Amino acid sequence: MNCQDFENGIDSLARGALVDTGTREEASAHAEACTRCALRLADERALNEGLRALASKLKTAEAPASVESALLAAMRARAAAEVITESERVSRVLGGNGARVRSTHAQGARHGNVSTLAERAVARHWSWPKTVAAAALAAAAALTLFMLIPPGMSVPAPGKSSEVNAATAGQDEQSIARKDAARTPPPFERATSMPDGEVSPPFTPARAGKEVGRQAWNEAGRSLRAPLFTRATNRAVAVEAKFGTVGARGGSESRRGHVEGESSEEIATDFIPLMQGGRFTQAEGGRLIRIELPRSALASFGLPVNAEAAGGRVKADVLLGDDGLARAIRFVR
Amino acid sequence: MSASQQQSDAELLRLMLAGDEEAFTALYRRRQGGVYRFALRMSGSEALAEDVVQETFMVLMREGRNFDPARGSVAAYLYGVARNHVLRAFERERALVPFDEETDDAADAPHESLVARPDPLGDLTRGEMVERLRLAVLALPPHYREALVLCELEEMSYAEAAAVLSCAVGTIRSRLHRARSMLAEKMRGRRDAEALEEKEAEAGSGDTAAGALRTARCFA
Repeated sequence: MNCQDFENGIDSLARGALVDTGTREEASAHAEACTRCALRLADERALNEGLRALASKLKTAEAPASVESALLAAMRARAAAEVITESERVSRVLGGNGARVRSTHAQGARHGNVSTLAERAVARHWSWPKTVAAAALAAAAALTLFMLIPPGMSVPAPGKSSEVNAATAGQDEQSIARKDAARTPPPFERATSMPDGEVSPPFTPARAGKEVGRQAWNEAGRSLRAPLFTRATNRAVAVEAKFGTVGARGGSESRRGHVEGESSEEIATDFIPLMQGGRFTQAEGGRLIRIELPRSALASFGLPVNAEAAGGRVKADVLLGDDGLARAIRFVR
Repeated sequence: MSASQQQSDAELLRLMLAGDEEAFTALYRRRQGGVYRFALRMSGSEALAEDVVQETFMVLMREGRNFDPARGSVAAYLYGVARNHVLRAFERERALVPFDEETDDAADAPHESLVARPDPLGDLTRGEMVERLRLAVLALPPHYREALVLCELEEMSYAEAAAVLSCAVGTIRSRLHRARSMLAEKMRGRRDAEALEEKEAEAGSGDTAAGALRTARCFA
């Protein structure tokens, strides 16, 4: 046996694996004669010993229990999301009488991200012409609200009416904005304005401990400034663009619902985080979509279900991340 | 033994994808240990290993329907997903622990033969040797390391490892051989360096003793 033959069989020799007697004797004789091969065999044996010790050191190592809990929560959230998606699908099949999904265009899809079934459904439902038309209607409604029906306000003085006329005559945006800032906001604005002049969402979002919902609403509140609605009277597309921006931070739909006068008296639960896509951070984009679900879906989130009304439907807002995955949900009445 | 414990991985996966939480739990508990240890041994980081386990099973939830039994076992699929996550993490972080970055304590520790001895000092030495070997494994190039981890530490057969790494059995064999050679070389180099240091220290102490003797004669 030469050194090359010895090297070829060194693994079996070191492990003590079955080697025929003749080969073993030849290898022993070679190791006695060749110091280099003897050292090599000693190294291999020592390495085997070390690897066995290393293997047994972590033999029982396992992932902590928290990983299992998180995965189970994710599985439940995924199941809930599938219920939502199924609801949307059924509604489309039935001609839109069931779930009504309203959203801006799918931002995630624009960026080439993976989009969910819900997102694709939204993209199909909400075309540009519809968006522009709806934005124009919303702007017109807002303008009417600001100018014509300010409940609780006295009849404007003749001097102030000229401001209204000027606004309707299509003055430039800057002058309108200045006048908007100068005049007293109508009760609608006063009721919802924040100390720094920002407009709060129409209903209270998540309280402390519900980071997801609060961040989304804070962002929505920052983006939604009252003059937007008057400025955009002649610029429906601008309104849509703004809504798009707001939508990316989550909250445009609720605000739109407010402008349309549909849901000014809505009451919402806190946002319930869904583990599907990890934590929602403020830096991340996102969208809020309004859907309707079977009332029985409440039970999936541990909320009580009125047995008498169990067959009905319930509105919910779903916060979607940039990746199209649902991050949080809240139920709205 | 519960029914879920008797079911195959593939059956548990099917039930899991249908929404059966119990099946998911059974499959997770059966396979998470191996995935976790693989990631831990590949990375040396418990945090990364936890992330890898979580991501691996999330992928199973999302894309488990794409699993093809004809291409391998569920376990091989899971290890394969875990491996991809580990390699991506390496690319992101490049945070491997080099062999040379040992602590001073470990570097100064006396090194004996790698053969274990049944005494406390021997146990201590062996513990240090195992730690040194662990660091040496972490310093191996990833494709050698994964072959070594799967075959030597997770005790997979060459065929199983080949299925996980999507390569031929011969490739596994050659990678493993190369990995073992590199490890042996590193361990030997370390031992030689320490032996040299020991000799130098002995020579130094000999000089000191001779000097002391000369000084004593002067006083005599």
